[in-house]
Amino acid sequence: MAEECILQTKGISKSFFGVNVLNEIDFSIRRGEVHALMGENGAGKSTLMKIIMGIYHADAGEILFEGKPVVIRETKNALDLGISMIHQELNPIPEMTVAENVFLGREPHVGRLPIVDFKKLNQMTQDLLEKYEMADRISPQMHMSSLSIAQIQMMEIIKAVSYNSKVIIMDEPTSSLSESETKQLFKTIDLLRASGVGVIYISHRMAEVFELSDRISVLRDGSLIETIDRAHATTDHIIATMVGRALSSGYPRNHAVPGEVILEAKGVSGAGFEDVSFQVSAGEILGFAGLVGAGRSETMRAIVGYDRMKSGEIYVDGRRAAVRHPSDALKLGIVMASEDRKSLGLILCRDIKENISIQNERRYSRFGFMNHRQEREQCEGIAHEMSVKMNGIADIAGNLSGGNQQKVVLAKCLLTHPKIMILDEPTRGIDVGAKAEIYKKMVELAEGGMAIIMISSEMPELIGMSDRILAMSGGRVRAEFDNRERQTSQAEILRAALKGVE
Amino acid sequence: MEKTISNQRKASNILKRFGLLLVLVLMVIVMSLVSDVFLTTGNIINVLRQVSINGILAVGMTFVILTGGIDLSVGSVVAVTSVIAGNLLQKGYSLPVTLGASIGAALLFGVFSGVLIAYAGLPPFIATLAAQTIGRGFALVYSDGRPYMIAHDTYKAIGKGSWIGIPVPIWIMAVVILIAAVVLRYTTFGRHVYAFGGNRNASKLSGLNIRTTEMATYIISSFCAALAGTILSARISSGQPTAGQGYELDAIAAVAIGGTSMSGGIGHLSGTILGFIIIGVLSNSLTLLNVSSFYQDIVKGFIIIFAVLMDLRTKRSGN
Ligand SMILES: Nc1ncnc2c1ncn2[C@@H]1O[C@H](COP(=O)(O)OP(=O)(O)OP(=O)(O)O)[C@@H](O)[C@H]1O
Ligand SMILES: [Mg+2]
Repeated sequence: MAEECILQTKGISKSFFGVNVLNEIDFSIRRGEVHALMGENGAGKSTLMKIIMGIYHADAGEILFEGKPVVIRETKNALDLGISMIHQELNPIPEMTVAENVFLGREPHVGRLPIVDFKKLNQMTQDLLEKYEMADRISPQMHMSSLSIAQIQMMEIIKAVSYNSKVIIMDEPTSSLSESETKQLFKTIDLLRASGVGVIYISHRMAEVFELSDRISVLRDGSLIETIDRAHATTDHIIATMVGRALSSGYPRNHAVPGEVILEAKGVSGAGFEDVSFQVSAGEILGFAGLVGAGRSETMRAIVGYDRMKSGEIYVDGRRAAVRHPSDALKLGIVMASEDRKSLGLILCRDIKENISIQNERRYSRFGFMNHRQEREQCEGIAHEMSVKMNGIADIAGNLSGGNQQKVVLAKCLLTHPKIMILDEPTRGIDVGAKAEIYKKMVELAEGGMAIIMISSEMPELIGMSDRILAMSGGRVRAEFDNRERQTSQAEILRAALKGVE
Repeated sequence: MEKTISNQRKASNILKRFGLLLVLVLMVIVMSLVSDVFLTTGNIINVLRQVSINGILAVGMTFVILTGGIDLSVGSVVAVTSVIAGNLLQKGYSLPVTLGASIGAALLFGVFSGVLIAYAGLPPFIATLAAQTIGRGFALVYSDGRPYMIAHDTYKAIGKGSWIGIPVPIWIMAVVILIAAVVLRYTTFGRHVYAFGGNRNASKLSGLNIRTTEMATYIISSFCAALAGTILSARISSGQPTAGQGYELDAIAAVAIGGTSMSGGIGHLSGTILGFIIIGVLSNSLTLLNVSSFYQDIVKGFIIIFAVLMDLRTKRSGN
């Protein structure tokens, strides 16, 4: 048993600021297996993996690699042993190209000169991209700053694979991928598994976990509750172990009767989208489907005034609205929760309270002076309402688990009490329990008269939640589906989303 | 449970600033042992008066650095303020007109840098470096390279006078610190400065007008430089085109010693205050010990490194 384990942790414990995050974790990964790690937001999954990678150091416990105890002080030690990781929060260097990022610090040289052989570098990257069938989505010479999150994610996957590691950790690798890219990743994982690599797979998506994994481990509040063979596991059992209670599955129904049209876009165009028109009514949940790069986020960013709109008109409550800056949108009652919480959603070095309050300062300031008590009360209230797992609202946002950061993004948008809320991948990185709560919240808000626009790459979620679905591809709206009966088929949507894409 | 955690958090926050305080306390203890004059009221007031100019500049610089920028132009703005004031006073203009013009000119420099940075997208280092040489050049051209003697008594009192035993420059510094502290802590603008420095894109999507915020910090810094220039020219009774050379470095050093992150978003005014007091106590001590001013610079450099290292260590152990 011990021989076939490549990597083992024994009694790993860790606390931050005196708060226990991991309690004596015994976890192992075998050769050629996919081991799924599940647990609620803040359960400690990423922390455990960061300890294995040498980013954090355990307070107690040891790590065995191929049966021998090892000391992993920094990431380099882990990489040298043959452990690599795709992080939940992506860290590309924006000024560099894809190839430069993939082989950062390992660039091939011209002979023995200290000069990078760019031709070879690009070729090596191209080979990898072709081997794992991603060459049609990204190319070695693309600049990181021009990539979408999904493309960055693919770069990170290629990078992790390029180390020829024996263990690859994937921390929510699919959270920003759409269906077809996810399929691609699964093929990659199968290839890795077949060649004897052990894959640790962290995800909140039950279906993926069941499709891929050989074994499943569940963390709850920093303790490893159980490790079970996939063959013996059921979804309900896993969920119950994760959250400590049973959850009703399925999507809540929006019973609101759509009212007046609140927001209308007429022929808007800009960088990445062309001639997009749509309407959304009070009480309606409008879904946007599409592959990565379809122009959905770009359209929405322009509508809230973050990016420039080249042409087109926007009407709010039937009146022509000039939105030149997100503050204009805010005044009109339009907010957007971005999919990119790291660069557009949060100020990671500040605390939860400040993150929530910057978008809401009008609510508790007069003549430019803050009312600290009101601020604290309101921010605390909404953070609890969104069940952000925290020690208090003075916690630094960057120290929160990924899913909890996402909840803070939603909290700050919600507190503005918008009329129109644009949610870009709202459940990205969020655990099953919290997901159900967010769905419930969306329906509650819609029934209270809010218009909700949801961009999602998760087809079931899109079909389960939207009253109407627009499919985009190549920056244009290709089809519209009435989804009041929640009957639209995935295939139909996908066909529209692929239109105009070679 | 929640209480104890937040208490621990507070304790670790105090610890973070403890390192700097420790440096200061150590310096004071050592100096009071080797020098009889050091801890006298006269000397303490002397130190505070000497730090007042750098203190005021450092407060302005704190705003700029919190946004992730830097202002290299403050030394030149000091000179611009003082030559304009010197010239106008010599020509017999009244005090309000003089101050209005000299401080107004300084503010124009802030607007100039601010527009270049926030609207034209120039890196702060470049824009304020340009403002620095333009400002210095302007002061020299304006005065033809010669100092203006200042005879105006009320103006001179700004640098030399005192009120209830405390020199006016110290009062001005105290008021500047107080206002800055209130602005950073209690106003929405203060929040914007931190937010902008932490993540400008997220701030924009949250509806903050990031350009005005960024520009405002350079105007604040220039205003502080104008106050410093007024105090300096009043104290030496002359408007010098070469005044303030290298002052930006001391101000930046104070902010850096004070633990404000150079990439923005993190930092406290209290750190800056400790920073410039440490620098001031250091120069005072070295002077009392009869160390030549050439050596003072060398020692200052090492103390800066030491202070920041101490600060880093306590920050790490606080985690
Ligand atoms: N650097 C840190 N400082 C303080 N607390 C931290 C730090 N890193 C993680 N934590 C805390 O540790 C707990 C576990 O976080 P972790 O990121 O491991 O969760 P997770 O299981 O990966 O959750 P998610 O599904 O949301 O990604 C959280 O409560 C988080 O706030
Ligand atoms: Mg995580």
